[in-house]
Amino acid sequence: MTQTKQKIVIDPVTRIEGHLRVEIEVDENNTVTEAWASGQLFRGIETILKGRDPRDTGLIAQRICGVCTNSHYRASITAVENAYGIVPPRNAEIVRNLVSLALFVQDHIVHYYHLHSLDYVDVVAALSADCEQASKVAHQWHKQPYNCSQGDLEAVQEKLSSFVKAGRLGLFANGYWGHQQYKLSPEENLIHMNHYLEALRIQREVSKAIAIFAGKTPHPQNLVVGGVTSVMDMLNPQRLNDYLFIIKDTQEFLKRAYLPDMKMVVAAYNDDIKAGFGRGRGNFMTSGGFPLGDDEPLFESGVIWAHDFDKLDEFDVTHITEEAARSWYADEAPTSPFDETTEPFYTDLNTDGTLKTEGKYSWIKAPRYQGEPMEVGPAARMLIGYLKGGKYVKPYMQHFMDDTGMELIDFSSSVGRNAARAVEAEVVCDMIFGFVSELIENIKYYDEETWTKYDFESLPMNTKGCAVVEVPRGTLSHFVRIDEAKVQNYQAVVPTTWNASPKDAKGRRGPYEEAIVGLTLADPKQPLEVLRAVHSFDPCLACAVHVIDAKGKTLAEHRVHPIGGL
Amino acid sequence: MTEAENTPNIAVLGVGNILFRDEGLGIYATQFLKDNYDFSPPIDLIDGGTIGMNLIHYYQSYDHLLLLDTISVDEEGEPGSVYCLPSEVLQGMGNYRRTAHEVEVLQTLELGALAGDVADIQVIAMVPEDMDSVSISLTDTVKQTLPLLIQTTLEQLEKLGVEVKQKISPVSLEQILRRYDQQQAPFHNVS
Repeated sequence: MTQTKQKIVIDPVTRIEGHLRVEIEVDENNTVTEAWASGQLFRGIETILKGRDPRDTGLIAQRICGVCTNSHYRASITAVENAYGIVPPRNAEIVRNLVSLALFVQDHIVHYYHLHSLDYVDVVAALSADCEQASKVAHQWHKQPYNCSQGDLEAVQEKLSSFVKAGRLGLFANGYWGHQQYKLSPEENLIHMNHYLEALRIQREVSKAIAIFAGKTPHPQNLVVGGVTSVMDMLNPQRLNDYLFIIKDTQEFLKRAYLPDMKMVVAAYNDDIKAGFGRGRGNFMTSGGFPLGDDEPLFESGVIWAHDFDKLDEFDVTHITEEAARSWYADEAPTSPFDETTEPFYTDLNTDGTLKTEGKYSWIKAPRYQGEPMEVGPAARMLIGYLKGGKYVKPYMQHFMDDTGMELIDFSSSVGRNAARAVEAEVVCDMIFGFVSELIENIKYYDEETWTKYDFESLPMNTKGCAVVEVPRGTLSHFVRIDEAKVQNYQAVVPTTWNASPKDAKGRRGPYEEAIVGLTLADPKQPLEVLRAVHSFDPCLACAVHVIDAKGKTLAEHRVHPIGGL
Repeated sequence: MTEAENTPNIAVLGVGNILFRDEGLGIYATQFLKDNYDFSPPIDLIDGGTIGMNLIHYYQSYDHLLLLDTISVDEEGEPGSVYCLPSEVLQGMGNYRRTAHEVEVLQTLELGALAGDVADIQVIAMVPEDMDSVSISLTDTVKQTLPLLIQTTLEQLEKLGVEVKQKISPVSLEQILRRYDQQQAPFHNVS
């Protein structure tokens, strides 16, 4: 049996070699029997924050990741507020939410269309679509589909055709086009690609909306310990209007493009969903949050174990530990993030460049909740929101399930995670209006408070605090320990660490690994099924390296040589 | 953005993560230009950080964009080497299958081309020495060759018709690095 097993290295899953790689072992039927996910994730935040004034951590922490700037910024500020027992005024919280929630919407749109949809949508097939027919198909999924007249679709097809045929875009030149696992019709592919292009415009608009309250982009300074600085924006009706205008436009896109497209994908890939492709262990966790004016949270909190939907545990941050038995660090034992160290202990790769799968194999630590690996993200939030009867989430989930025939277990799959993400984008976008109304009401009654005053000198010299917040990719937590009014230790446990976790001392797989094991590959040379599973988690390893990788290209003629003595 | 209507909009955009030593070189170079030169017509000098998809927003906001970044190359490029490339040279490298999740400069160049109406982009990049250390600083190698990258950027700006004048009181690279390392949040002194 063992000699028929074959090892396959999928590297890079993301662009940069070693950034995120997956190694799998398949049997003679090309079914994955074991998987190892290895990644480089930001490490060393404590090195750089140690000794700093706790009021400044947010400015540095926001640099951890450019894609998640606002998420880290807010988490860092919130952790310090928690340490000092400072509670920002409600208006400050609302302004923070207007940024955070717009980010959810933007992130979900970009993730689905630009970073993931081409795992399900065949660009080349879209070129042979009949545009008249495609327009009819679009009207089957929504009575007013977004930008889907025959003329619109013809224009899109022509544009795509020119790009694909020119071969100028690596984006479209190097996919697994024609792979037998692509299941949409040419017309459905074209509708998707149409919205892919529209989504480029929409995401840009949302980033403008975010900038209204986040102020200076791309490095915001709107948050401070105790509240927000963007007071003038909050009190300026024109700015609020601009924000709302963009959110309304985006809402249209979600309801008339994203949701119908997702329902189309769910229908086309229904067999994959029902077969449980990409299903994990079934441990889900969310910390909840974003209470609206009626004190009902947008997201409920809770923990699901092994797909047991009849029993929900309460979420408790003190159950979080990180360990490194299989990660390249010296400190291996499960430790509370308040006390963690990050001392690298690199044991290298095998001589042939493959992972040492029996030992340490990743730069990502293994976060655990009560010792167990957990999946975080939209699927966790939507499932737990549904099960707890969340006032805001449940009706949206119910509606989507009624429309598609999906059951709860189906959201625990590659396509299912995407469905949960789409439902979440819709509910979050709709709820933004609730927060805006509340803010307008408050201002109307002269509640213009946006900062809780405090005297730094009289705050405790030694303390600790943490922030556990829901961000687009899942649960994000920052932990800060303060000694003599300076940062003594700092740790961030990010959503991708939970999902991309390697195995632990007991050999339990992380969520990516668990989702991959059991998949059967149609063609081991084109492991599309594995990419679908990994990408469904919306991995963000943007925090690692940003060099332009021009390897494989001769650039000598473009090199600049110093002249004279420079 | 520049105010004059009939002059082209020009920006210098530094990208990279300042927490990883040489990875921040494009950002420091941009800040150096901002602190040491006056430009006529005025141009925008932007600390782009690692903003991923939002880069496209900048591509679409200008006529000409100089992108300062780090680069890794095959051949002779030892740390400190400087390259000046029109973005077309890099096109075709934003491989979808291999990208997927972190959006990098190469992908945004391609997505920008799809979105349409983008600036004429010139990439001016240097091979870094150390991007593993977590530190807001630069290696000596990069410090020594950064003037070449800055000079190249100034020459490109002049080619675009921008007049460059040195400011009266210069700010050194060391001062800039220190400022980035010791940034403070607002509201420190209010209580």
